[in-house]
Amino acid sequence: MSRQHKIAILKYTTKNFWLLLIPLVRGLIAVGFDFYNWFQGAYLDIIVITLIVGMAVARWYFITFEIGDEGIYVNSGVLVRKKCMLPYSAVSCASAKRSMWLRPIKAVTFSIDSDSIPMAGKRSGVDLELTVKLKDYIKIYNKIPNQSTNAKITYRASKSNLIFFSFVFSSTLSGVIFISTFFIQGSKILGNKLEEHFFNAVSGVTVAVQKIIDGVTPVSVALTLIIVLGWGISFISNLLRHINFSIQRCGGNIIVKNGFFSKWKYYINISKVNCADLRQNLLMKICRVMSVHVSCTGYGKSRNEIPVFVPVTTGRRVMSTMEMTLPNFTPCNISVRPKRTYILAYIWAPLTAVLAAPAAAVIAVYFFPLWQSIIKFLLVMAEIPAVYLLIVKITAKFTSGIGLSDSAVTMKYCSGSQFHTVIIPKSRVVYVRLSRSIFQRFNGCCDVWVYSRGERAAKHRIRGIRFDEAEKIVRNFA
Amino acid sequence: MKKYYMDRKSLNFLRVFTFLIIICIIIGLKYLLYYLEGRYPEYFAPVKITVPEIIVWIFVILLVTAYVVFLMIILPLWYRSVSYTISADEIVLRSGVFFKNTTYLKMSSVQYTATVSMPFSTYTSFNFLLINAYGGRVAMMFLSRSDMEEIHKKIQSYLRSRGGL
Repeated sequence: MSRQHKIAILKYTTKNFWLLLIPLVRGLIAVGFDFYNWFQGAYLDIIVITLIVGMAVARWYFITFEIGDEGIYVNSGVLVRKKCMLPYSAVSCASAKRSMWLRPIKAVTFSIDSDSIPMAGKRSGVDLELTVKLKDYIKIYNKIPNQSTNAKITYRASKSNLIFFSFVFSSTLSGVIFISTFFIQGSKILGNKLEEHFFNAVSGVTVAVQKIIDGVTPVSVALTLIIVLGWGISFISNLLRHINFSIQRCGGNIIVKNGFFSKWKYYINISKVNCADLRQNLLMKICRVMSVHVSCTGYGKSRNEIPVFVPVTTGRRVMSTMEMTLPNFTPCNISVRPKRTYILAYIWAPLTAVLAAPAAAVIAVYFFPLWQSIIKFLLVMAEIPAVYLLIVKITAKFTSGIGLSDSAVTMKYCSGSQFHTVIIPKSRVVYVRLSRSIFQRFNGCCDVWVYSRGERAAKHRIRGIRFDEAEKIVRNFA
Repeated sequence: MKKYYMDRKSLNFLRVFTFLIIICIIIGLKYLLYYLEGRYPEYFAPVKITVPEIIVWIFVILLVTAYVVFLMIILPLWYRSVSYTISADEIVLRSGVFFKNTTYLKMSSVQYTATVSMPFSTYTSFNFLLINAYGGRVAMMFLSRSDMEEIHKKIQSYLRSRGGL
């Protein structure tokens, strides 16, 4: 039985361990390394830290693993002992992360996931995660079955493609979450200094902008700064994450490598891939480019991770790569489309937003005339995504549909602002559901929901299909 | 096909353990009353039954009733209702006192298993077997150590026979 790398002890200390440690060290420096006085003043903190470290060491010591011929055996728990054997046959995705700070000490964070729900019960959790020594990782890597020695590089993403991919898939929200976490954690250590710096920067930028555009308020500058900063952080983290992206087909596995500072390597079991998703947004649709994402438990699960298989490239290139790497996931032609007159269900939400925002702004200005400039700014900010979404939904109405081949089902639909072309082998379809609202009963339509296999069944919805045609599709699934 | 049941050693342990906890709580409450009497003698002196005493006694009665209902009546019935059947093709779990539940799990959908044992589980039978399957998990609870190891071995040998990827 082997143990994890000693660096794993840090992982088992509590989240706020550093907040206790920093004042303690600061106190030691303040008393000029007079240990006696320092201990007298801070003995309670020292005891707490010793307990935390002691518990972490105990947890590390009692987690042991063995790399067997059939799977990995793991024993864990100090008082409550848990024994687990994860067979290689159940592994859907294994991943190895070599962070910048783990590489010099020859440690690798190795995780394994299967199609069952994770042991920890968390949705984002994996079945097994260990921080192992490099030599143990190589042992595990050599034991992963279905590997051919004739590895052939099938796809390597170009830098320009990756920049475009990061540009398209960057989310302002994740960046804003990062900024807020930075401010919250930073304020715990530095007090209000960070906030003061931010507000100073906002007032500085406001003064500069007011020279160019008259009537700009600090609130609108702060909002714009947060959005731009959030998006920028997300863009940079996406780019650093996916740079050096390559996929190799090795027998029954696909190896995905990416990363700049931290290097990731994934082993995807082809037989456990549940569906392939060719994603586009409106800009990508106009440029006729797409990116391929795959649904395979364990891939693209952690925070800020996108389960990308082929970052943005042309349709023809995507098809040739798919044929080589995932031959069972070739899309077929769409045979069933939404009913011609069925459009309101697609556009009602963005249309309401487009019409309601100016009305709400007029009412707001009537009641709060002093806030007119901010309301105008917010109206413009609200109208841009609403109009964009309206165009997306109108496009979705004319591009959605379902197609069936002998072995797989292809579905085109729009979810949020993204267009999906999803290919699911019939063997990976859990079930199909037809749902009809009271309005759909009158016009003979229904929504088709297709559930694909996975840790938790993923659902795909195509709106407004004629009910008789949908029933035919359901019969063809058998 | 073999049928397994929950080990009644765990039921006895649960009864004794819960009984001891209830005794500790009652002693704690009595101590709290003494403490309050010492701290506020003027409040407790004029009347025989005070509000804190009423609250404490209601709490004690509720605890004892819950103990009798759950640990002396419902839990033994639940133990009697639970059974685990293992065959070559499927695992069947039956349970329920008022509502009977039967879970059928295909062996082919089992991904992997894990065992969880508490300290002194040989004497307390606090052994659990977690079976992770496609999209879910079932738990076999309070098994004797020998039963747990036997079931675990059976499933492991099935997983081995199923072969590689």
